[in-house]
Amino acid sequence: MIRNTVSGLPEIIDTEVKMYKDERNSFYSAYETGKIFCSSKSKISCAYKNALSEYRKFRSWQKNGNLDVELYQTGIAGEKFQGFSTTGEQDKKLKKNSEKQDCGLMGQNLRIALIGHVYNVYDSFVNMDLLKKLKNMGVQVETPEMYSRGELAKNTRVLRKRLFWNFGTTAMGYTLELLRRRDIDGIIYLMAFGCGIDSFICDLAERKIRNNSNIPFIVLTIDEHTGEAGLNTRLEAFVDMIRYKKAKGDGKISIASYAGAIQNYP
Amino acid sequence: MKVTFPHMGNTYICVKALLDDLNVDYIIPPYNNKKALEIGTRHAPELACLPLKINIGNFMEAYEKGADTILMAGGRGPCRFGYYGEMHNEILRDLGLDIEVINLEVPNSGYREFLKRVRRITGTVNIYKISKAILNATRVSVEADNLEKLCCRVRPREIKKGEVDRIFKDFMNGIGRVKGSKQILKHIGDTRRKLLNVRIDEKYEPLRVGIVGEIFTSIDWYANFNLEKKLGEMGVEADRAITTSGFIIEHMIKNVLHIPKDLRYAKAAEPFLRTAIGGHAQETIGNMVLYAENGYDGVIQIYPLTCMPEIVAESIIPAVQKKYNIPVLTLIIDEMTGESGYQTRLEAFVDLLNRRKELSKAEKRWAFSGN
Ligand code: SF4
Repeated sequence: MIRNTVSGLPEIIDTEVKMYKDERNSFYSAYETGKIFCSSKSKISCAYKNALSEYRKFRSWQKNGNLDVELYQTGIAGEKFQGFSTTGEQDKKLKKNSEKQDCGLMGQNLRIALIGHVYNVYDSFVNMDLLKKLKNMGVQVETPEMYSRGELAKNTRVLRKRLFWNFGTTAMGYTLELLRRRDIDGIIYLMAFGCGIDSFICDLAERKIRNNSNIPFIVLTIDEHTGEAGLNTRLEAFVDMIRYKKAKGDGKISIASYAGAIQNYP
Repeated sequence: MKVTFPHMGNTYICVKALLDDLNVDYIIPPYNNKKALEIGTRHAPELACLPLKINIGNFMEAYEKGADTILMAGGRGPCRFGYYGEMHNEILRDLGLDIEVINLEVPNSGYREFLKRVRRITGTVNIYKISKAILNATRVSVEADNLEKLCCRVRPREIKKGEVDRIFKDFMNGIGRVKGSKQILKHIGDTRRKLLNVRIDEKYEPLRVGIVGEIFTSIDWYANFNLEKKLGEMGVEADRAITTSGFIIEHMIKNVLHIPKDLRYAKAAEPFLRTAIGGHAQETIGNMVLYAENGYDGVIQIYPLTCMPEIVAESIIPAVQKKYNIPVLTLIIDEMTGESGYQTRLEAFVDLLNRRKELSKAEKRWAFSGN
C-alpha cells in the first residue's frame, strides 16, 4: 500500500513474514531482512537471539501487569522510573479532580479490562492517553497481554469454529477468561473505526459478555475524527456507572450522595 | 427440514439445481430487497460488511416462510467471510430464532464432521450421487453466468430498448417453475436463443468497461443497483471479472481436488501486489491490469464499505492507473448509498470515457491538431 501511494520513497524493506505456516519462520524472515544489512550469518542469528530474548523479557514484564510501554523503554535506557510524568494540562486537572473526590467513591479501586489491538491499546497518541486517563480515575487496567497467548488460545476451544486471526483468538480467549474469573468490574473494547476484525470480534465478545454475565461493557471507537472531549465523557460516564453500580450493590451509598459525587466530577 | 441459503445474484439458480437434484426441501428467500437490508442492518454489527447484513435479512425473511436450516459456505482466511457462519449463528440465536446454520466446509475436526453435515442435509453420503449433482449444478452456474454475459453484450446494441431486460425478467420468473438441473439448463438454453434473436445494431461500437471488486457487490444486482443494466442502458458493454461459476470452480472444486488454478490474474497483479491478502484484492488488481491490456476503455471497482481486502486494492489502483493510463471509478456501497447519487457518478464516468474515446480518435485523424 505504501509503495503504491507515496512516491519518492527510499527503499522499502518488506520481507514477508509467514508465521502462519510455521512459527520458526520468524527466523527466516529476520535472516532475509538481516541480509540487507550484513553478510555474516552468525551475526544475524546472534542479533535475532538478542531480539528474541528482549521480546521475552518484555512479555514477562507485561504479564506482571505492567502497561506503560514508554516506561519500559526508559527502563532500557537505564533511567530510573519515577512514576507517571503527568505533563499535560488535562492530566493535571484530572488528577486534581480525583483528589477532590472524597465521598468514598473514588477510593475504591476498580479493575477494568481493556481489549483491543495492541497498537491501539499501547499507543498513547492513538488512544488519546486512555491508559493514563483510566489510571487517573483510580482504575486498575488489565489487558490480554497479561496472559500468555497459549493460555488464551486454549480457552477458545469451546468456540464452534476456530478463529483465523491471532488477535481474535487472544481477544476471545481473554473475554472467556474474564467471564470465568468474574472479578472484573468492567470491560472496555477499544475499536478502530472501520477495522473489519474488530467489528466481528467486538460483536462476538459483546454477545458472550451480555449473555453470560452482567459485567458492564462499553465500546470506544477511535478514528482520526474522534474528539478527545467526547472520549473523556464516555469514559467518565462508564467509570461512574460502574462505581455507582458497585456502591449500590454494597449497600454503602444512596443515590442522593452518588448524585452529589457526580456533580463534583469534572 | 427446510433449507435456505443466502442470495447473491444468480447463485440461487445453481443452488436450486443442486438441492433439486438431491431431493432436499428448501425455501429460496425473496430476492434481495430493501427490507432484507433494513432487517440485516438492524441486527448485524454496525461496521460489519454489507453482505453479512443482507444475508441476515435473507435468513429472517426465509425463516418467516418456514425455513429452519441455513446453508452457508465457509472457509478460513484473513477475510471476514470465513467467520460469517458463526456470526450468523450468534446473531440469529440471540434473536431467539429457532434456525440452525450449517457451514459447508471442512471444519477443524476433519472430514468426518464434514460428511456428517452433508448427510444431515442430503440424507445420503452416496459420493456418486452427490458428485453428479455438484457437477450438474456447476454446469448450471456456468450457463447462467454465460447468459448474463450475453445480456451484457446484447443490451447496449439492442435496437428496441428494454428488450433484453424483458427477456431476462421472464427468465427469472420462469426459474421458479422449473425443477432440477436438466430443466433449468433447458430453460437457460431457451432464454439464450431468445436473446440471440434480439435485433441489434451491428455497426454500433460500444464503450467497454470492466467490473472488478468484491464478489458480492459485483455479482449481486441489488447490492450494485443493477450496475450492468445501468451501463448497458448508457450504451456501454460491461464485463464482469468475478462470477459465481468462476468462484465455484476456482475456489471450491479446484481446491478440493487440488487442481492448479487459473492464475493469470495473479501474474498480472504481480508487479503491484505480490501476495494474496484475502478476499478478492489480488483478483481486483490483476483483472484490472488484464482489462487495461485488452484495450478496455475503463474499469469500475466496486466494494462494500469497510471491506478490508478491497481497501488495500484501492490504494494500489493509482499505480495501475499511472502505468496503463486507464480511468478507474471506485464505487463503495453501504446501506446508506442512494441510487441517484450513484447514477450521477456512473453517468459522469461514462461521459468521461466517451470524451476520451472521441479525443483519441480525433488525434489519430489529425496528427497536427495543435493545442
Ligand atoms: S471480501 Fe470484504 S465484504 Fe467480503 S467478507 Fe471480506 S471484508 Fe467482507
